[in-house]
Amino acid sequence: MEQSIDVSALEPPEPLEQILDALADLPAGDWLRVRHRRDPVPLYRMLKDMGYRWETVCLAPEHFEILIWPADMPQPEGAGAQDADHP
Amino acid sequence: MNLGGLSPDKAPPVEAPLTLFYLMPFFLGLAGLVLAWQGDQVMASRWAPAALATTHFLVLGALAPVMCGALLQMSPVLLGAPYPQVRLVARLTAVGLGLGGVLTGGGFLLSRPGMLLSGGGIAVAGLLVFLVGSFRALSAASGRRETLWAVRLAALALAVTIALGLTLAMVRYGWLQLPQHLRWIDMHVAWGLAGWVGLLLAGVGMEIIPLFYISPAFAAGLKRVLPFAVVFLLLLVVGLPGLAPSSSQTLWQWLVAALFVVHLSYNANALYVQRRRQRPRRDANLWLWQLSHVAVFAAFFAWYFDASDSLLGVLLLGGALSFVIGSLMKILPFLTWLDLQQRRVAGGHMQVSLPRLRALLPEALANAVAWTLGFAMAATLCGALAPYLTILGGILLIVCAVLLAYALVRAAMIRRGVIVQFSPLGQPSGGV
Repeated sequence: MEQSIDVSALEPPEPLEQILDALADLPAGDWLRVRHRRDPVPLYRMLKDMGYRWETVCLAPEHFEILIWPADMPQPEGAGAQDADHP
Repeated sequence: MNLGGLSPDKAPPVEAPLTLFYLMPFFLGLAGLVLAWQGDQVMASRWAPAALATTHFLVLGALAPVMCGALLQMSPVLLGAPYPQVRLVARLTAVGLGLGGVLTGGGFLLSRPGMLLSGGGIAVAGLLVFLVGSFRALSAASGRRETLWAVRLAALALAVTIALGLTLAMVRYGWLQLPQHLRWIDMHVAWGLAGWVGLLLAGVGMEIIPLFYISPAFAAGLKRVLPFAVVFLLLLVVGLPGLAPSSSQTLWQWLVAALFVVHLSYNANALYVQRRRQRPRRDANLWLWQLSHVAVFAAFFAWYFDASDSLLGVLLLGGALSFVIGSLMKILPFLTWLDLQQRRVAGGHMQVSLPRLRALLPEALANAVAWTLGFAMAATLCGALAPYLTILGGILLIVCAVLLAYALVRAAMIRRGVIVQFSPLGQPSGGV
């Protein structure tokens, strides 16, 4: 099941703080969709160390969506197509 | 590498900037003591020993360490330009500024030229270490062109300010004699305030204000032109006596006006983008930044209407302190939290919960720092009319220094407590 958060109006490094908090609370089998105004590259190193995978799509300037799921779980089905359809 | 425009993964060890930040409250307190003790003299003349001591305590001990520390931190993050041997550079700069600042300010206060010269020499040595590190870092940098040039030219202005300051210390010691001695002092002040302080704060401000407040970007033309315009005008300031010896006073006035106009354009743009920010919440940091912008406008009017130099000095130094302390209110919890987060993830200590960002620097404490600084400035300015108010200004500055010291120590203790939890033996690991 998908969980989602919007961190696009937060100042650095609060987006990072909120995303890591959301991952800590993520129920088994769920994945996280994040809306951000930037491509949060430093997050990725942390995600890798923590055992997550991710996919980032730039939908518009200052509108990124990042899909994050545990590395031991298959990529959520239809995630890419779902990203592309988002406004 | 981008986190809202930042690259925290390139950041140096947090101890490097913190070493320098810890100097600020001590010197802020020293300046407050001089104001509370001899405030009437500070406001009576910029040449009074107490005025010179207060100024040098603030610029060498309070402003310079935080500006250098912030640059050690921001240069790799914003510009992709890490300092070589960053811990060593931070420690030597801190020792130079700490010891040199005490001796230089003390030398002025006690009218001891030997103390002043040795203090100046030590402070210069510390700043030279920082400048050598800056040269090596910034010469190889390639990120954010406009900000990079602002920082490079600010470092150049620091080098010129140091050279002029050391020359003036030798004049005071009787080793040198200069024609138009007072003009050289004005050059030292102009390169220090409009160049080193003004350029660095404007260059960094144009990056971090939109970042933290999600505001429109600064005007592209302003970002491109401002650093070069300031340095061009400052070069004219140096060449002035040779260019037009007969009309140098009139030209000097025009150059000062032009420097004000360039810096006012930045401060006006800053107020405009802050007004159009997407984050509506006002915090201590925003109050302090806006106070600094307004202070520069007030300084311009004070200069234009020929107010006393002391009044002008309080506005310009107070404005610079507002911006720098405001930035510190943002940087301190940011750096502390990021350091802990990176340690937690790298060490696989996900079971250890981290303090919230706001817990690292409670809003009430940040607000108290901002308000005491604002009231200290206001009381000191009113001291021009009623000298006893300068004493109040000094006391408020001491209170501000104590609160700032508490904020720094509190964040350090929280960080230490969390790092202890990361260690398998319950002992803090290296670099705590």
